[in-house]
Amino acid sequence: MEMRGVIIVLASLIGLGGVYATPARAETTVADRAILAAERSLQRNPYDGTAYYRLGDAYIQKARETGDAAYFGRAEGALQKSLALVPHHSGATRHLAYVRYSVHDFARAATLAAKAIELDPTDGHAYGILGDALLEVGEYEQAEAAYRRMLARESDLHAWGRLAGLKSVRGDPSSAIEMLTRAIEEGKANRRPRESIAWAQWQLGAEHFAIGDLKAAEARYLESLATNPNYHRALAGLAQVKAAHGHYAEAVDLYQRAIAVIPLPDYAAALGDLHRMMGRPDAAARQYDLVEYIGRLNALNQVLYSREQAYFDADHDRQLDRALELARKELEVRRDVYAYDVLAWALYKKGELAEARTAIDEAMKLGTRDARLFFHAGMIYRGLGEMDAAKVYLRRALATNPHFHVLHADLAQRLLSDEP
Amino acid sequence: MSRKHLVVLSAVGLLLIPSLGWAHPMGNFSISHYSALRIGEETIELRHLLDLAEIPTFQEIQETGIVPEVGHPGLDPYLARKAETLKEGLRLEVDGRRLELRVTSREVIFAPGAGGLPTMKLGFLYRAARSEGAIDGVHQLRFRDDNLPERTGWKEIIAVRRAGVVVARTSVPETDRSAELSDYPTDPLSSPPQDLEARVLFTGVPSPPGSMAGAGSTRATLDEPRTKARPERLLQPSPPPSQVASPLAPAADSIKLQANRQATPRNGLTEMVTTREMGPAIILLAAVVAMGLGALHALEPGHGKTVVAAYLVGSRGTAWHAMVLGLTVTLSHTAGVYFLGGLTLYASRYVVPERLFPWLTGISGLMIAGLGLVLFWQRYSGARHAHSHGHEHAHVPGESHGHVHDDGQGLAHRHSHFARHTHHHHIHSTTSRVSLRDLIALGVSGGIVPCPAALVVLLSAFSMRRTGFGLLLIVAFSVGLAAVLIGIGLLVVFARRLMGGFKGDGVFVTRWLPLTSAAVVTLLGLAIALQAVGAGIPLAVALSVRR
Repeated sequence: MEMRGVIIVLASLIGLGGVYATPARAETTVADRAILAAERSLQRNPYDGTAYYRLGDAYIQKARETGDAAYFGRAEGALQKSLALVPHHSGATRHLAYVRYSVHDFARAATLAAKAIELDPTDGHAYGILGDALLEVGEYEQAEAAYRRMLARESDLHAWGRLAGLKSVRGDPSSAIEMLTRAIEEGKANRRPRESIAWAQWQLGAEHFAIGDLKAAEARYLESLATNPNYHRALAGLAQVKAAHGHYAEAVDLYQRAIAVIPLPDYAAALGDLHRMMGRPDAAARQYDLVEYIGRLNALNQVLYSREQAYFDADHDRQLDRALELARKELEVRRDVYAYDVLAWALYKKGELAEARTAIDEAMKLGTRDARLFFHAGMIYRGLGEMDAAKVYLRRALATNPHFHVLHADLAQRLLSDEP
Repeated sequence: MSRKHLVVLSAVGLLLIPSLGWAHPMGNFSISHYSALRIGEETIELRHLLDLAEIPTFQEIQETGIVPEVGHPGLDPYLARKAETLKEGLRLEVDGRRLELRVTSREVIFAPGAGGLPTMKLGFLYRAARSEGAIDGVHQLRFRDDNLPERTGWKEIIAVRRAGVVVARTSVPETDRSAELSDYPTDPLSSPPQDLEARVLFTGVPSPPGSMAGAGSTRATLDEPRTKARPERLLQPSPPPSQVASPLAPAADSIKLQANRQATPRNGLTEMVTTREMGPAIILLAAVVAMGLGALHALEPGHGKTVVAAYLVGSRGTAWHAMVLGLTVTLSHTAGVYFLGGLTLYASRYVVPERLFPWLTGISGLMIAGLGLVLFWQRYSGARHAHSHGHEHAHVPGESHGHVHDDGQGLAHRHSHFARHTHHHHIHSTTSRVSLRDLIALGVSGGIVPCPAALVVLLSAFSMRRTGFGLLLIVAFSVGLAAVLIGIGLLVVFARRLMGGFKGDGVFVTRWLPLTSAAVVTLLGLAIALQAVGAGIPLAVALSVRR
């Protein structure tokens, strides 16, 4: 009798159980669901090259969401399989190009993207990745041409976002802001993944911050966080704004939240600087050690974060020989504006002023309006004894963004007031 | 075969980066979570594990000042604190009421990760008393892990019933995939689970007397109750009909933590790009490993070993034949991989290699079957001939093989050598002759279908612009394969000779053995060909929906 009761209860429960039929997964994103769906279809048909492509696509999105480069490894595995099953799959080729780009293998990324275009000339995204790879190696004209082609094929978040980045490097922040606004609209209209929209909003915030518009920057970062809660880039951006306002405690908290999602070396370095500002050398040292640790951990990290590491070493006068070595090595694969800037900065710290000047002039040749570049230029010219030029650049740095760096903005201010 | 091999082969890739060491399989930023709920009549047990990769371990050491050594006196207070802070984020509710978790045990280990840097694994066993009163009726359990939800990592929850309980519906599996965070599947097909929440409906069940093996008691062998590696041992009480496959969980008093068994370079391919130069020693090492893999591969089912053995048994092959056969397999396997690799790279717009795969297999199967049939026919009719006409056909065991003499000096010489050799043993010549042509045809059929793992290695090498290295690895792989095939062939040859020494050449050896072997070769060939047809169908379907 008891048994039968149990069975009856269970039977009715199973009938009612529709509510529980959907697995309760916390924080599932589009990428998580896409991964599961692709896996399921591969269980049915392990020879489905297209399903492997979709799996690779989902892993790439997951890598973007989490900031964890390890997911690119899985994406690459899936895409290789896809291409082994369906060679000349244009989508898989283009995605592989993106993975290569993401691990800073720009030459290979460009080759693969060009191949993807050859396979499917209507694929706008392949032009986008080609442009990205070209941009990293300093081919700005060609990059722009690729982006324009992308836009001609499809007016979409990624196309506008990329062109905006180019405008920004070219020293045209207002166009960049316009284009990013457009990118966000298109992204919303086309129902792009939350992460993509949040990325554009974060980027827009960063553009505003770069020209010293803290208010607009803060608003955009908050929008980004509303789109994608706990988005680490927006958390760090907001932290930067808070620090610029002098709200250090809030800034520390935000950096810690970003680091809880992913401890990127940039965030740890910025948090360390804040601690230093606040007179906590021990806490600062801990964050600096973390930066060091991440860079040293493995070869992939060394490639991915070599620029951050070199900036960090030069900024903090830590290991200047290594900074210079990293900067020179970086220039072998990457020849964008910042590759020259980090080299100039490392050379300056090492006292190689003549060479530093050549590098910083190269870094500024596109007219990029970035306070950091101007600050570096000011310091280099000051070291060379060309005080007039130095003052011009230091002033320009502060005029572009008076809060460009927690420690350096004050230094620039001090130097200008000391030497009237 | 390929999955296991791919893992090992990507390990070959990793060998190229001596400075790199092993990375954490989940990425060195990751914190992985694991919760196993064991639902019992009176208590609910929660095994909660955290696996911190290198960077979070470094942060944890920084923040807490612990010394990463098991047994260090500072660890106990740390673990006690950690157990309490984690508890805050672990919500266990039954029927809407949050249960109080009590810490029963806490463990930590520091397994070396990349470059020997420490990673850490924490294990906590919590117990919660289910509400007072009888178990009657249906209960709703809800569990949520709110600790570090955003951090990347493997997030797995499982729920297992204990004796006296029936699980009606659960949102999470009963078995885990990571062996308690010690063996993460790393192929792209098993994506890391991202479960941070579980819902389970359960109810009590009247317990059959005397069979409560695991209920509430302490047992000795409890390190790993429900892991993927181990079949369930404790399935005593027969569950009611509606709950057929719901296993029981034994109780445990503590968690035995294990280091990651699979320190697999999940992004080995990604990391490979960072090596700029390869020393000769590393190349050699990689080649040796590839050779070993080829040998292992040859030991797995398939790849014509049976055919080789059957042929050699039936045709009274010699050591030399075994060598020729093995070498042919090597050469044709290498050629097959190169051919398919080249095709994939250059011609695949016109011919799609995975469509070619079943064809190649099919052709190979038909070749083997055809060969078997020819052999069978020769042996069948040849044996009868031998009886009536003596050794008229002394060294031409079939008219199709007469060309062997035209093939050139060396071959002709070998052939005559075989002839003498067999005569020497007074074997019925027609049934026993081994022709080079047969051997090569058999070797080619056995080797022509490339092993997919070898193909992937080659293509990966291409994509990483290490073409020469890829070509070399394939040769090494094939050499390993051949070595084993030759070894097996030799074994068969010598075993047969030994047998022959005892038995003499009875009718079994002279007539039935060759015939059977020919039949076996035919059947194997047909089986391979059929397999190709089977594989071809899903492929065709898959390819029709491109994009």
